[in-house]
Amino acid sequence: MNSSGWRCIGIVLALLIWNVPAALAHTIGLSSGEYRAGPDRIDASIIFARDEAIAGFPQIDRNGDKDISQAELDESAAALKVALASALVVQAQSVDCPGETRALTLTENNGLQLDLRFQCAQASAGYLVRFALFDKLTVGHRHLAHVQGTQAQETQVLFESAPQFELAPGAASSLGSSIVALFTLGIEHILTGYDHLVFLLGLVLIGRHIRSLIWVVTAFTLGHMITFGLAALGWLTPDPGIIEPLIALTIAYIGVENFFVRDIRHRWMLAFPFGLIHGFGFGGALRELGVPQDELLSALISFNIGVEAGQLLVLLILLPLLWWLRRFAIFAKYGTAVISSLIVVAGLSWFFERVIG
Amino acid sequence: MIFAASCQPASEPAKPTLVSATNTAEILCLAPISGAAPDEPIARPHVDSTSANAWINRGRAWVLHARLSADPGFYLNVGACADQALSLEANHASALELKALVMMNMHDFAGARDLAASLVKSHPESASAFGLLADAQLELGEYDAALSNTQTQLNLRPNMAGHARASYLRWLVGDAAGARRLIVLALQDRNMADAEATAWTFVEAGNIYWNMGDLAAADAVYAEALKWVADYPAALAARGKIALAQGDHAQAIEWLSQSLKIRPLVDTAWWLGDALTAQAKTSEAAGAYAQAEAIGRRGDDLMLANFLASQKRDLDQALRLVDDDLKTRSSIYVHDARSWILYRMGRFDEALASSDAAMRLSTPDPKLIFHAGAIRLALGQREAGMRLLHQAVSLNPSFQANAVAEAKTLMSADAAPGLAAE
Repeated sequence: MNSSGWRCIGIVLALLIWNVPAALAHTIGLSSGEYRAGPDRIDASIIFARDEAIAGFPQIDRNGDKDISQAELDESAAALKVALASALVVQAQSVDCPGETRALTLTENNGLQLDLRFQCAQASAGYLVRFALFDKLTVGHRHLAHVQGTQAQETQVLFESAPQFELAPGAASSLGSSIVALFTLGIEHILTGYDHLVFLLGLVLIGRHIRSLIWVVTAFTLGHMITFGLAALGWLTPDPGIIEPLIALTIAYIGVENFFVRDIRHRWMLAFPFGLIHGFGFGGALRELGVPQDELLSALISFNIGVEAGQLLVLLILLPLLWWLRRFAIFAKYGTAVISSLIVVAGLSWFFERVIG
Repeated sequence: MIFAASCQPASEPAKPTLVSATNTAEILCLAPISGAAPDEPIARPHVDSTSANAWINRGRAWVLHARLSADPGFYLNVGACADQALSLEANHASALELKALVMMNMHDFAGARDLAASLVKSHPESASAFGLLADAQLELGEYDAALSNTQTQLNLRPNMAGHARASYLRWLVGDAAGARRLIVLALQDRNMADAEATAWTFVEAGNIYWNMGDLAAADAVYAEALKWVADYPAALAARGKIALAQGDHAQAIEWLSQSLKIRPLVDTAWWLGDALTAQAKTSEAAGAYAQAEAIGRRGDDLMLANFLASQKRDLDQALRLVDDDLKTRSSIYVHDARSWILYRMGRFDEALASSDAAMRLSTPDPKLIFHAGAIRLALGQREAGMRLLHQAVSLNPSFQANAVAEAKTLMSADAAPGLAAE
């Protein structure tokens, strides 16, 4: 998926929430899908709002709390994977291509992601894709199908009486363009991931010695690279409902610590475990892209390099700026306290937002 | 229901709308309005993206399409157009009206009321804003305020929409004669350019006669609706009900099936099940009832709850659905549904409290009155209960086959408390 497609997921999920308290409203469901065609297969990643997924498959919500926990998803996964393989009907030259559910993942913003692959018997110049879940979802459901065609990305708005579209293998399926796109997306992810940026600021705010800073940044980077890999490969995927509030708490903590610590020589010992927590967040972002399994390693490397490049870029701007600001007496006296306070407030706000919301 | 969406079928399956990706609101707003002429090439329409009014006009076209197609999903397109307009002019009154309309259709009645209330403050000359406010208040059970705002709407612009809304309100508060007089005024204002709205008003008029038990008059008015919009599903379903009441089961099945195909609603499938049962087509009737439940499970919680109560099953779930619905609105029909579920559960004291809330306007709706009578009878209030049951059946002796049969059983037998609930 390219960056505009990824951004779109956020917009779609924001739209799902609309202006209405979700638990009370009779919302019209809106799901989003990314569709990539290869010479002999279709890969699709579809994101539903969790309450919409529950409407279609009430058996997921075992405790009836109108949400899906990781445990509930794990319990239902086997049966759901079979049921959801028929979420799409893909045909090549009028012959059905068998489908397989490759992954079911809880995503940020109360989403449930479904990764599907349809392997056709032979290569085809075009496919017919039908979204086959409308009769299970709330009346009026809309599905935005982001389709990487041969020329540009297009979006098809599918609904019950217009459930299908045609798709031709596109340039986006080439590995080279995917690597560039994922590298760019990695940079974009860190630059638009305000929580990570605020954490990074908190981490280096009181550092005055380049050696200590290198240790801290390296420990954080190493930490998040490890869990990023584990999460992206699907080996360890903690519930975002736990990880996201934890990330917020690390931010608040680092802000608080800045009031009491003047020397960051030992902060690497904190930066490493905190990096482990943040890495799960990055891994979740990559999973949401629905990268096919056989392209996952190259995608992981490209995305990760992008994240590290973005982080380096931020530090190259941030550190000289902090050194320069410290020349001013007012900043030297109040700067750290004021910024750290704001970091604490931001961290706590995100924490409560993520726990309550 | 004043706000009932109405529809016109797309004769062929529509093509998906294909647009270049920009942002979701723009994609949804600019998606081609397809379906009426499916063979036409689908093209991205031209909208002056710098003009709020252009986005609003596009949004209004989607409103019409939503009503004609009976697909509430098109209100997403309406909301998207409103958002595009509001991104240009944050306080644009017409865009905010569209937003309020979308909120109504998403059952965010309190949000719609608040938005409409702020609109009438800033634009006291806007009749449509007063209409929106009244509609939201109707759903929220704020009937006095709804009456007052409908009156203001009529003072500002005495048109079909205002008169129809006023007629419905008069009927709700027990003034059937006033309702009839106002619906006639509404039809005198009918707009040749808006056939769907006129057809809807005819159906509303027919409903008044139906509730009064004047089946011939109701049928004639429903038939008139079909002259404005052929295959108008609300009118087809209504004529189906009348055919069933008159014993013409085959005709009832035909009209109800036709309506259901165009606009799948719980009550239409339910009536179809009743009609099929009356013709002893048991397995087909079971299919229709299963369809009613399936439709309800796709988002119509209130009707699903009513249906489950009628079937005397899944009552805990039905109560949960209604209680959830009560968090968003407090109309007499939600209270009535709750009262009937509680009655079925044997919780007669609680049922009475809900029934009192449902009957607080003295609405001459035979179903509400029947429920109130049965509940009182179950509580040992024999005189009041019998009086209400007689009133329900005499208002419309065929308001719903099963309910009428149940009422007659209660009236004829010296029923022990709670007999019908077992």
